[in-house]
Amino acid sequence: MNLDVAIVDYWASSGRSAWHRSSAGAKIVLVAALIGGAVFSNSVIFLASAYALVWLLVLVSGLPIVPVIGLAIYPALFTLVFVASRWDGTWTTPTIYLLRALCAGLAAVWLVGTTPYPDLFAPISRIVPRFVGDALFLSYRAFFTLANKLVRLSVALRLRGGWGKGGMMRRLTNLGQGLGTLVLFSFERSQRVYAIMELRGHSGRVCGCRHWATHTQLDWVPIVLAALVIVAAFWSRSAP
Amino acid sequence: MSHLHLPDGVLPWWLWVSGFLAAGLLLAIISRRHREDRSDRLALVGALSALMLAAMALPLGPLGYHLSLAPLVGMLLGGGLGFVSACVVNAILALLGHGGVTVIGLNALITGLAAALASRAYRLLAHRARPFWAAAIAAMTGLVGSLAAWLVVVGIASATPGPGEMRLQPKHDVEDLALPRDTHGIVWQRFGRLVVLSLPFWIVGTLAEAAVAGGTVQFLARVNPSLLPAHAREPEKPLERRSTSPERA
Repeated sequence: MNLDVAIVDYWASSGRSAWHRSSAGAKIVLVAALIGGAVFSNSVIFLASAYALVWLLVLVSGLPIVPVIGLAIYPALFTLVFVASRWDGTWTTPTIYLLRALCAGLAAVWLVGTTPYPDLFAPISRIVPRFVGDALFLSYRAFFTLANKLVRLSVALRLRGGWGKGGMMRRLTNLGQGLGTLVLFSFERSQRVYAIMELRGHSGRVCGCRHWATHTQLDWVPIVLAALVIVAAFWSRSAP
Repeated sequence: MSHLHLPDGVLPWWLWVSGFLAAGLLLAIISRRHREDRSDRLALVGALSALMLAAMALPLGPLGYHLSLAPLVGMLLGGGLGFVSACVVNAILALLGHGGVTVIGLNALITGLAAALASRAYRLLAHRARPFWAAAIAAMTGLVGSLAAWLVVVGIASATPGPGEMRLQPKHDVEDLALPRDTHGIVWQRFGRLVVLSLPFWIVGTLAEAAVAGGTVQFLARVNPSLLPAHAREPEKPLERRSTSPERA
């Protein structure tokens, strides 16, 4: 599942569409409007329109369709359990729940698929405690190294029979012991990162950049779209 | 996946807003408590959060079923920093549609509770049981607490009218919601369905988390026990092998 992080990161850093050049702040405003509108709306028409708008954004941004469909299905899987528990004999309620989750999930995927992670995390790190914001950056950076090591570890486990013999509990214990090597690596890596941070004169904030707030000529598009989404959401609530 | 990630749009707004506020408050307290920590502690939180994310890349079956490693990270980092890790991981996952964006706070509270309880339980058990069992039981304790919190959240969600029920009846006053008459029975029915649908996944997930946490802690106790917070226990001695060599005989 989470090798998706690497794929989405590649889309964000290699994309050349107008949406990739747009500032992170404006796109965050649009995504917040889409998610807010989706979560508060009870109108199937509004939700379907908002979902179509997000797909349009995905297509215009040039994100690869098939992997995006894969990511877009995740929220539906989680929502199905809730939908099944609240089945009331109509199709309206399940449709509303599914569209809410799908629209919000796809909007988030579009945002991370068009925005490099430093620009995305920098505004988040402004509103959360510094320790947490920095942990967000360092986790994201460490992920790629650890994910590669984990893939190699799982191959090694399979080749050496750690995943084949014995029952499921035996296999999981073997996996745990394998993960122990990654924990050791994580400890060593944290010491190295600490030394590097000290050498580079760590000032107490990992990324204090303000690139995300630099306005571009294209920023009016997401802002206008966000305003339209909010107006449509209110209109759909008050409509009979 | 020891619990089902909550998606967007299934919970009442006041519940997820409360989740954000509670998680934010806890993060502020924990950050304040750890503000004097050396940067290597921060780097370690980052590395172990990344390990949680990476471990989710290992599928354990269909439907994206995976480990969370929250109890294990709680045991290694302590409850507070384990909660920070849970928040970071849930925030990154939400951006990939894995759990809702509006429910990051609640998902982090549920995952973080597993980390915090496992950390506490492990410290109690570390001197009384072998590393594998101490970690496995601690992981189970954390996940039972996490399940209880999840059930409270979905219980509240079940008791909240759905979007279809909130729609006003035409030609009626504002108070006239389309709620069924036997609301109490309906709520229990919904809650029961949720529990029945999710419990098998939870049982399998808990056993898997316990086995993996046990295996990892057993490995660390043998290789580098100083990494375990409750490392007073001596490293395990290698098993004595009966020798058949003539010198020993």
